[in-house]
Amino acid sequence: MLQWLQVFGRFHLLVLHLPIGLLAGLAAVEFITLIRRRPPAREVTGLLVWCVGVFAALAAAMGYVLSLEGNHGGDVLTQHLYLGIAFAAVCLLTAILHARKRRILFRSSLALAIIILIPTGHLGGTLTHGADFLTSPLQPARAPIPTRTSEPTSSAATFATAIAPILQSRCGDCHGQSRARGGLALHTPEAIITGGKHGAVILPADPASSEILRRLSLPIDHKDRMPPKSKPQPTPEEILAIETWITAGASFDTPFLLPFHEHGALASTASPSITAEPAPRASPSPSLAPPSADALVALRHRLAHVEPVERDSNLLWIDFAAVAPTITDGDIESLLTPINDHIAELSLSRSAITDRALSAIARMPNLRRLELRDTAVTDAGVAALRSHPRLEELILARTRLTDAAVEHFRDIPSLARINLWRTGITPEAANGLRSGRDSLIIETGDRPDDAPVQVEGPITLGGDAHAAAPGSDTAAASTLKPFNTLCPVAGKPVDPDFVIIHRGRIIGFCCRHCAEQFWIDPAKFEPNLGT
Amino acid sequence: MHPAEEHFLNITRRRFFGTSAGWIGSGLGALALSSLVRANLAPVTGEGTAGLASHLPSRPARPRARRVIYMHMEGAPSQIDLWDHKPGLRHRFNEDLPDSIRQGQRLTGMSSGQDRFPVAPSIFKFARYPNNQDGIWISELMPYTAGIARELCFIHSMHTEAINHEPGITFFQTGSQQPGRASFGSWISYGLGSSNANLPAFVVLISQGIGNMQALSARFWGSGFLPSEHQGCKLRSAGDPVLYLRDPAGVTRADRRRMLDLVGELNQREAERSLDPDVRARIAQYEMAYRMQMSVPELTDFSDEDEETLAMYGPEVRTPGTFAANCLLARRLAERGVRFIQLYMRGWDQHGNLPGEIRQQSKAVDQPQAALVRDLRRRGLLDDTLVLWAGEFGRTVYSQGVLTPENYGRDHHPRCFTIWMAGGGVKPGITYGRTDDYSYNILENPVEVHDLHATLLHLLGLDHEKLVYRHQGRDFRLTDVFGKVVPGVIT
Repeated sequence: MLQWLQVFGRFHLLVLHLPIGLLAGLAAVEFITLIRRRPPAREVTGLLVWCVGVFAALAAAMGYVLSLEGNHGGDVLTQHLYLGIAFAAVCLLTAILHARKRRILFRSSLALAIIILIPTGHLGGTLTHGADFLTSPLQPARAPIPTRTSEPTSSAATFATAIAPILQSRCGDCHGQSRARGGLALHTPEAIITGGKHGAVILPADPASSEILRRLSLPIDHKDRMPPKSKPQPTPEEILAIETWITAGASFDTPFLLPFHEHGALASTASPSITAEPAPRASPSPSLAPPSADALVALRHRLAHVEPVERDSNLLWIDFAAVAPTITDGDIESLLTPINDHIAELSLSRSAITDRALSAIARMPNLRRLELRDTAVTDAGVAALRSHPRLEELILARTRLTDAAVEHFRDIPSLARINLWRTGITPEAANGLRSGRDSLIIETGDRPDDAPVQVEGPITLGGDAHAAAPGSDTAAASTLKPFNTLCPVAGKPVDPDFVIIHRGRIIGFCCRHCAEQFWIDPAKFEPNLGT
Repeated sequence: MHPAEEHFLNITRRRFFGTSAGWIGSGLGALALSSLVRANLAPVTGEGTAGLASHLPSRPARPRARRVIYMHMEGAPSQIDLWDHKPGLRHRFNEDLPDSIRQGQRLTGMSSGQDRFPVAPSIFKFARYPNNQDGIWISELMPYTAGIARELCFIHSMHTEAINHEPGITFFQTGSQQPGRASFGSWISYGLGSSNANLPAFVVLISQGIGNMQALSARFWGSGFLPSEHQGCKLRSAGDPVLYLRDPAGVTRADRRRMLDLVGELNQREAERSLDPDVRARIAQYEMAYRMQMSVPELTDFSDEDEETLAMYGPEVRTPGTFAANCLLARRLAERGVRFIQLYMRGWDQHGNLPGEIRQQSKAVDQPQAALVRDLRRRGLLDDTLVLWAGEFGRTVYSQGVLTPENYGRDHHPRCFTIWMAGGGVKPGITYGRTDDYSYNILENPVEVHDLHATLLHLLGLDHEKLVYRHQGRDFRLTDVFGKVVPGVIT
């Protein structure tokens, strides 16, 4: 667009006020005429009404030009545009009717112009100031309020549950269905993908290049900052949620994992990139998708603890410690089967599970640590773990296993540590496991206390020469008589105030400095002492 | 609620003036005051949105420890009589501490006026026990603990800034000698949360010792500026472990639930109105108390422990509140997924009559603490449970007061002392750091309190430089601006 035309368009914001004021003046004049029945000079009303018509038409034309800039969009703009044109038309019609001296029609037309003016002006104001501009002082201050103190919070989320509400509440006023400033609307997936007049605002899996995040993280006073300073600000949690969603691929239907856990603290966080590659040792399937949101929610409701095993991992540690005695085989089936692939560490100690649960557990391909201490599992149950591909650590203390179970463990190739304390397995049978694998750590029970390998002889304190008598604390160092007469460091005569006891000999020095020198490196000066 | 945004909810001075200013501004028109304080509003709304990443704790790697059992020896045990073997001192009995060792360092007012500082060698016999290096010399006072030296990592080169108990414990617990910071356990609760929804993430157990006992302020396990649901929950040693946890006669659990629901709703409204973080903490604490009604009685009931286990912890295990009973309770808490279990043993402050008092004091802790480590190990819990044993500082090599061949006392000594750790990714069976022949100065590998904190956080999978909380306009860390992880003690 030509630049001068752009300037012309922007004058809309100035010129639009002229017909409004003039129309109000004209209406006042007509009203007074009605009451006092003494018409004013016809030229005055004529001039006024033509001014109204011309300026209204001018404002409408400028407004149309301005709308082409594309800074606004949405339904509000369209309605404002049509109403503005209609208003200009009615104003011109009013002027014509006045010139034709059709008094009744003139007044009707004038009233119609005023009626159209009200919504037009309101919509115009909404475009520049926002929908809640007028009423916002009446509303209580908006502050982030915790709503999840008693309900466990899910860390699993979808666009609809986690992201859409943030976009609606923090951006929707200016970038929604009714307004689309900068040509950007964020109320539908299609609109989000389309972006604004500067292009796409979201690049899937690339938060660093996504305009929406750049704007969100600018300083509050920056001119490009969104939402601008005067608008309600998103919380860091909300920004992080958006970042997490983009990192996870910005999908509108696939669930993703928010890096917050149930008590609000962070389970795993440095960079919340969910799809990032898990650690090499633990990542049999690097493309493991995030666990299903529903399954995580169900676990949380059952008061199970769920935590990623490490940063950027979709593998989980699940601990039932809080409710262990109430956990049964049925819970394992229903709660864990949907996320079989994600379970890397499972703590079921003290739970009420039986052998039946072990067949479900054996189907967890990425399981590497399993705790079954104090459970009712038996040899028949652990048979299911035979040839498990990744199991590294088995805690089976205080179970009813017998020597028959040992054969099953032999077939777990990756087994690195096994705890068999207080089981029916004999130490001999357990040690049989070790054959062929030296690195396997087997704990079968208590190691007896280590005995000392060396014990000090009887303690004698000091030399008899300077053992203090009981009750005396005044044995001054100066009473010690040095055996030498010349300082071993400087060769000067000894001052008995400076002595060191070294290798059973009382050595005198000429000054403090020499004594310190000797203390640091006696070997250097000892030869000077003779024997 | 996300921890990084919690500071937004606090009614700070700025926020108070900020909201008032808005009200005055709209109600009374353009007051000069209003524009003046409005200028303060911008930093409040700007806080935490830019530079967000810096607020988030990060896990450097796979966590090695999932929980901590921290046995704090209140009063500061003598490293010279327990762990730091200095046989050479036996020949220096009652000699003056050389100035080259003493180096004019600060002493407490309790001994700085002494005419002389006579060297007091330990009168306790040491023996060398096998570990994963060439053995470690441990005093006859700790025979049980010595027997598990293969599991333990001794740091002989610990040092601290504080020289008195209150600042010393405060420093160890919060990373600062000045009161007011969040305690170590609170940071863990904040950073990791509880892994048992029915118990607090941070539990404190206190045992009384023998002799001189310093006060234990509740702020040692306070949450400081962190939301108060992260403060330590102290279990009482006699009677009900938690007061008023039982429903009074005539109140059913359903009644209690209905009451809590109503109170919770009222509190929720108040939280929305006042934005006071303590109201939110109260909601969380009421809910926790309700769940603890079920979980605590089961926790503190030792009737399901077998005789062999009880015997291992020693004869005092059946007396609630003893160190033995608390060690067993600590194991039960660890089994149930409590993140931070803090045991305090009081009474190590032996300024005089040290030999007599330390005998009894050591006897009270030796067998239980060794049993705890062994019990954790045989149950497969030691791998991911980090055990720490430490006092707030050490004790002097010179005798405070009268020195005789049978009796002596020792003053506070912050310049070197010994702590030990076990499990949770710590190298077993080693000693780290070395002190001079007088156990007075550190010769190699000094470890400062902040370094210890950084190392423990690292083992828990948290970066001590990233675990921050914004308060009064700046980010606070447990390690303040100090601390480096000590790789030498990590497997």
